[in-house]
Amino acid sequence: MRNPLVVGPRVYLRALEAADAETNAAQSNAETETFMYRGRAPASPISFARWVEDDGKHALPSSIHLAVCLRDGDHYIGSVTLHQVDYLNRTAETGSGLADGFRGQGLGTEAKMLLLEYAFERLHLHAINSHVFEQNSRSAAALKKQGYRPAGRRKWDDVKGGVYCDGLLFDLLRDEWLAAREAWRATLPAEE
Amino acid sequence: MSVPYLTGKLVGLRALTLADAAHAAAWARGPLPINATRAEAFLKETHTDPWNPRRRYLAMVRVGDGEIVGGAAVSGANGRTGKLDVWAAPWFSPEEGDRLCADAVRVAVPWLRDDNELMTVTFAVPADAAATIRAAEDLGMVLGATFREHVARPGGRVDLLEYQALNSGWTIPVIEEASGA
Repeated sequence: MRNPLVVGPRVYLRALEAADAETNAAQSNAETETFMYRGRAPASPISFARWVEDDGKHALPSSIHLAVCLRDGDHYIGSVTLHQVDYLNRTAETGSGLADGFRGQGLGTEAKMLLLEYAFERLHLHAINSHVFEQNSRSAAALKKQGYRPAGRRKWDDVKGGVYCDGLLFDLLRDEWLAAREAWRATLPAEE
Repeated sequence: MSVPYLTGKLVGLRALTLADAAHAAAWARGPLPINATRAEAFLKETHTDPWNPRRRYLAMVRVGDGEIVGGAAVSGANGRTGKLDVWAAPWFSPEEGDRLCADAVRVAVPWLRDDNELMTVTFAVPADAAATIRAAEDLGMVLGATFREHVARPGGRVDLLEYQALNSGWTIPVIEEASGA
């Protein structure tokens, strides 16, 4: 593992490096899904490198992006993020994205659990929130599995499929995350 | 620099100027200190596009003497949706600040929803800001979400309520189901 910050059974989180820019751009350009973003667009490694560079400038950044890497081989497979980190109210919004080919294997849930561990146990945040477009039922189901509770709905949030769609809003408190993590851990194969 | 269409009973909203750098404690959000040098740099960094800034910062000024008593910010996407934030200067009591913010909401929401014809205006308010909540509801804003315990208060926490003003002038197209024929 290289420069690990939070470590799980199969993946770990670390700071993004300038060297991730090429991989990040390549993964973004290979995206097969359209439902979870505001639309795909060709991505340049130049802008990813700048994004990584800017990310490291602030002592207390408003967004914290972490690379998700496989423990086996250190392969960079995506990123998880705390957006709008509010150090006074101790809240943040979570976001995550794994490259095509790494979804549907439980790696995203593990990465999210590590991000929440970082948020609640390292930054000592009190509450977390998240947002998905209403068509993104897969992410909504994942959030519920991770302990998030429905907080409400943001009307006419964006355009998907030619119609305005709502955003579904969720929130999460530490105790709820701890319970969800216990339930998730119980599903993992026992260590030998 | 006052803006007639953004003037309420207690406060008005106006654009910031470099002369306001010396009063940043009032219009810069949060409890942290910001000196005039840093404030001037912030104003120059954030005021690069007069027409469509990513985030438009405004001064909240008291009607009568024009003293800066808070701030506001509007951000949005594609000229279709907007997010409004308002806050009072840190020296006001919570009740005084709530009254000022309520008046600012009363002028800002019609400006964004009716004048700028935004489809939605989203506004988050702590659950203990009774006057501001009343102003939002009087304007027809609807409660869309409750984020539990999202606001820190001395000795405790309160929920954060997200309201939306929905512009009835926008119509939602209904897509006919494919017949499959």
